[in-house]
Amino acid sequence: MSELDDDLIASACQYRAKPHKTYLFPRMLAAAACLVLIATAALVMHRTPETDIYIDGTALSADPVPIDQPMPMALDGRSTDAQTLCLSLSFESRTDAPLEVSVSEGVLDSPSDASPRALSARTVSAGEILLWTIDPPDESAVYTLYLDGKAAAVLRCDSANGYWVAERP
Amino acid sequence: MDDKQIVELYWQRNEQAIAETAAKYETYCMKISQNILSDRADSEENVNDTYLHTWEAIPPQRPAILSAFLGRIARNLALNRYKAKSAQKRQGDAFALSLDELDDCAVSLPDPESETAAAELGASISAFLRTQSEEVRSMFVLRYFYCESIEELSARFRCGESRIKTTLLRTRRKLREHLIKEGYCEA
Repeated sequence: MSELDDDLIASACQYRAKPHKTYLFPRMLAAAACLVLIATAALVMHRTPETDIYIDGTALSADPVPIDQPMPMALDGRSTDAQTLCLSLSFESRTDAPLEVSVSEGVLDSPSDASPRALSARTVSAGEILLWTIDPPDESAVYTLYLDGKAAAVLRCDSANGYWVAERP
Repeated sequence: MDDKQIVELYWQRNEQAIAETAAKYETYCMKISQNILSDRADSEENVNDTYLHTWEAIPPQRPAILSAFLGRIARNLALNRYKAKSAQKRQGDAFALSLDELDDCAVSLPDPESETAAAELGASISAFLRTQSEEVRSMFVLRYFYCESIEELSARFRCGESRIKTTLLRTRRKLREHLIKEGYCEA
């Protein structure tokens, strides 16, 4: 090694590392991709409700669920008025915690009650059925169902088609 | 004072040449000595010997690159001093480590004492190094001529120690292939 050429020996000593290039665009792209991913995850988590709601046995989704009412009620046998809107509600929660169910209008009954107790708010467990009765329903009104204080479903009259629909708020 | 003027002072046998050399290259010679000897007192002595040998070598020589000329003298003197010190036992220091690394490229010269053979080998290694990138070439020379430690190289090249080690390993392998082709090494 002592016999290396002079210029190699001299130039090695003077070598200065070049500063690393910073590639701004790929970094920004990566940061933007992360943000999009986080935003998407947040949106999906926000839009996926923790509790599934079934109205007359049909799962409530983003699309309006038509309700074949008002018509004579068969579920509880108590309402025979054609202008009474009576829906059966059931819930499937991802947690075992009981749900606080309330409505903006009408009353909530449970078929398991020993005696009728028309309440606007009730605490139910998963799988338990409630009957939501609005008597008489106002076709210009929008009725809201709350789960644990948050609006979980709305009920409105689709006047163009002449029937009631339930949907996520 | 520039190098040509310093060399001219040597040629005029003006002792100011040593003072000028010391002013400009003491740190440089000290670093090389320290890298090999790892001892301040020995290194200072080695640097003084370097000035003396330079005084004796110029004239008749007229080095084109004074720094390389001094560096080579300082290195050779330090190597001799190192060999004398470690005649009884091999030291586990940084320099010994760099020598171990070069075992990969150990050459078999017919007459190891021959200056011509050593010069030819040096020319062959230089030719190989010229085929490498500036970064790799500098890294190799700094490690095996100047005996800089891996930590120092890492700081100088602004990269991790593992990258330095990997680059040196690859370069040694390539050098070995080159030396096999040239007939200095056995496959």
